[in-house]
Amino acid sequence: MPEDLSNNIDQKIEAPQPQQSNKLFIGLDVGTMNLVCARSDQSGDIKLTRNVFLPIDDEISDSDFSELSHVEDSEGKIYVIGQDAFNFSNVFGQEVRRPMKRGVISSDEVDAIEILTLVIKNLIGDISGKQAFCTYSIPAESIDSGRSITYHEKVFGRILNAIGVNNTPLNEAMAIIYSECQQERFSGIGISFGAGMVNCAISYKGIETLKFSIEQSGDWIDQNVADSLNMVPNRVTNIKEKYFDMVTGFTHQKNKKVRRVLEAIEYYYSTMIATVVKKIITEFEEKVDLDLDDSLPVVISGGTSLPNGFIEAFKSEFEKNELPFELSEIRRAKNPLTAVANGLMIKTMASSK
Amino acid sequence: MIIVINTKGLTFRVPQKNIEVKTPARLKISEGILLTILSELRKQDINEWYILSDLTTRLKAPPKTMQSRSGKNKPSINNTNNDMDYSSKLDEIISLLKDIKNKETSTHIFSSPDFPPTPHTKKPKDKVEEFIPFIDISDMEIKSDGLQTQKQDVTNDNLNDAANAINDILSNK
Repeated sequence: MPEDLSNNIDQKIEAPQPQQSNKLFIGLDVGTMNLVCARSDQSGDIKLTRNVFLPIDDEISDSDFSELSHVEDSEGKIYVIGQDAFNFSNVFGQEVRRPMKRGVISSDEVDAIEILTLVIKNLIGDISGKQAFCTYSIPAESIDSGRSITYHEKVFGRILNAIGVNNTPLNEAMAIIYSECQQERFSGIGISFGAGMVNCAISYKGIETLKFSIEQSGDWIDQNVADSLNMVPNRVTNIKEKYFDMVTGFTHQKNKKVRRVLEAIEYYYSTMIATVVKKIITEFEEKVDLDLDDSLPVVISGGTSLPNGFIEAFKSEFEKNELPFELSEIRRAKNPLTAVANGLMIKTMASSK
Repeated sequence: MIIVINTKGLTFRVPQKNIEVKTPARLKISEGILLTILSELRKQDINEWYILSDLTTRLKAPPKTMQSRSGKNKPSINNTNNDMDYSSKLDEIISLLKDIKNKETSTHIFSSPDFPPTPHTKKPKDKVEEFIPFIDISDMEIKSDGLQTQKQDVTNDNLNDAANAINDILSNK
């Protein structure tokens, strides 16, 4: 049976006496599309799940869902969650519901906080007998809309408090630096191409000097392709993740419908990369005043950067522009899906030493 | 005073006095009933409160009584007139409010409906921050978690080296 958190309302959560061996360090990447968790006691394995759910209509709730990952609430309502929700929705042409939108908790889905809490609790796993410390990712404020991230940050802090985990927020692009730039003494430019937004941070010797985000990433591509071709966005996501390749292109695809989708994806990908590169350069020119002796690496991470040929396309777009800093290289994170969670866990360990 | 409102009903809390009172029935609430309750608070000169709630998106008719897959009838109310159902419990709620008012001596002043301010006292680093969770997953259970695993080629030594390197560089070693 799950822990009854309602009983905690009047109870102080007593932290155990500090014991080095008893400490558990966690990095939690709170992404618009994926939730990813790294634990110091399972450093070789990083767990992830899709940050989506699908409420099942009452009419079909008598079906057998035992094979699907799902949650049943106190009123008997069933929600299929994670990858199963994504697969299930694609089969039936439905649109999944997403607790987050454009990098932050969605104002349309505040009802989903309990589901999200349960999914995060499950993702983090057993912490009984441990003193758990977690750094969780937050985006930077968007230069497109200037939306505040305060509510998002506080809600996830509360979710982690509710499951008994000490927590600190950290910008997700800085987490890439902590994961990938030890050889450069944590100086570099981290760029996370997530589903909801592109996050960028410049770090000089481990200190964040600029961060910002752009609301034009994977979801923007999927939505625009879906609008162009009258489709459900998660079907576009599915085709993009299965078939999209920026090197081989779309012309070889035999299925006409898939080919049309891939063609549209390619157009929007190119537009996104060009826009993001321009915005990054503009931000640097306007806001960064660093006189650096060393050249900086750009490290790219995030699910939207996964397609084959993305790094080359990004490099090519960068080379068209005069850069306001000296670039050493553009490289992909060792694992673009887990780099943020790994960097967050490393920062948790560093902060707890 | 803190009023926690969610689909399970209302909880009134006075943290300084460690008082917590739940509404007698776990009923859905509607906007009309909420306004009545707030009006009652004002009548009783209880002006220092805030609402911790995601209610604004929940102000809709509750679902019809459902039967769970296990065959048990879940507690729910008839959705024909939510206000009327809740009104029958309003006297009990007002009685609770009066009771709370009598026990309450002082509170922080919160502005409604904003979220609470940062606690005045800084918590020790190694202690879980005390907060009032309105997140209630006690009646929910995840089945067949469906998590995926990504392998990564790192050891605890690698991670410790990186963590030490961050601390070294930030302390200018």
